[in-house]
Amino acid sequence: MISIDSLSFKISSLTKSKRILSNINLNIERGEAFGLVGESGSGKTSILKCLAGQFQGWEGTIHVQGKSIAKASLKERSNTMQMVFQDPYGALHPRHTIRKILNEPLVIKGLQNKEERIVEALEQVGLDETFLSRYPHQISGGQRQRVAIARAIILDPDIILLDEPTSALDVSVQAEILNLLANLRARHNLTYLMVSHDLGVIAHLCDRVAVMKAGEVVEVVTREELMEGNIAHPYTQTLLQHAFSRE
Amino acid sequence: MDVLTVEKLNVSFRTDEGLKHAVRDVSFTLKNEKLAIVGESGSGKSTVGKAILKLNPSSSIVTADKLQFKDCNILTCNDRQIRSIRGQHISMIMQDPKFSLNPVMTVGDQISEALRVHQKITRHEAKKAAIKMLHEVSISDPEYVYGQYPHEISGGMGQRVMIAMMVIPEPDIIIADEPTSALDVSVQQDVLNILNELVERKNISLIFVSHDLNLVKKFCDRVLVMYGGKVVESIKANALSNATHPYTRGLMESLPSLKHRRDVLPVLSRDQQWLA
Repeated sequence: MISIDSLSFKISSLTKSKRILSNINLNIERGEAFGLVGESGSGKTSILKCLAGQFQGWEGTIHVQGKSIAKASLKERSNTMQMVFQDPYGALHPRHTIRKILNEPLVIKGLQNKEERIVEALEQVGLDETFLSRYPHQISGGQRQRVAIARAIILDPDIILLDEPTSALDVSVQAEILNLLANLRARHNLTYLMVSHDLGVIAHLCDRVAVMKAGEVVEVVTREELMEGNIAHPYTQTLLQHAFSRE
Repeated sequence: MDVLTVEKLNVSFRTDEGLKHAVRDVSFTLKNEKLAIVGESGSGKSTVGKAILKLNPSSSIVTADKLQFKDCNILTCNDRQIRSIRGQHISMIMQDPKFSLNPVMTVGDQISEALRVHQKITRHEAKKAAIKMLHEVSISDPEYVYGQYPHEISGGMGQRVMIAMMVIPEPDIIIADEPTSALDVSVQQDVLNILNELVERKNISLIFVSHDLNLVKKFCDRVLVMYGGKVVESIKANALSNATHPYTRGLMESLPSLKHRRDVLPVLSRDQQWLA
């Protein structure tokens, strides 16, 4: 579904250039939930941004559904891929109502039956029509993240990029959102690429995980290997130790 | 010995929709221990922490039967008296070093300022003490870091600077409001170890405000669980896994686990009775 080959990315200024990603190779199957873990600055979000078209000028190749995304227009890309961000408050326009927020992608694509699609997307994420006239500040953090997810699925994408979707939420709300994401994936046969610093969250939702450090993928492990502690790289072991010691 | 006694603390905020009751009848005593206050966002845990130092905004109404720090009644303190308590006797570590340190002052000057406000010592002595303190919070090159600005250091270092700043006047109580939630997991542990070591060595009582149940289970002695502004359960930290209140249990169970994966995570169902 997604294949990334020798992806490298560096940011250069006049005086110095900084390598953000070096030689990333990943293959993500259709319908798979794939996780990226690592500490801040390790480059996990950068991979999502390369995929989403927020970063330009990377080297290497990225194919989505067999097509190189370097050649795809942003509009084509958004038909197959949508993104959900970490902070639901920052991701939703504060002066747009929920109706307007969900209407926007439909207008851009010139789609019909907007009202029906909006209501359906809201129902998919467990909200109802009464939310349509409200603004983001009038709903709770968990509901906001639900709206952000609704906006991502309203265009019926195949892939959803999730950038720390629950780290700004309370544990009780995190459980609700994780359950919702698992349901949606089963219902629509979605492919997830999820970034998180929390191994527990990753192991809950994802089948496979790439562990990242300083712009490189040090290891790709399955959920079972992770839960059994059957891993090779010392950095993964440190991360896992931290996670186990917290439980 | 009780360092701090709080009895029936109530905090309300004046809003456009009328009074909002944020903290209801919270009572606890703090001994020489690490006390955690946990709960979801909006449960009033930070508001309790701020009420102890009178840091809530002027739109708030704070009442209590008793709010006693040693011999001092905090409720009747005037501005001058509370300022002499803040920092010197009770200090507070904030969540995010990026927003809580002064961006236009070197970190070293901020630490020595914390000392010079409360003690009559020279600039030079304060600088020496600050460098020693930076060393104590495991900063490898204290002289160099002393002259750096907050934007030049990492988040973990920033939080250690903040700890240095709050510990240097040797207060009796430190209120730490989510001191590690802005940090990476690997850095989190280092910062907690440093905080732990300092409060134990210097006999400081700690109030640790957090939403992270797993963390407080390991780190603290006693836990107050707050829901909707009320303390619903007070329990020893190591007994948290056997908590009896359905809210505490619900919070514990909703955490995804590496050891026992469940396909569907249990979701908390809230009960109006908990607030009765």
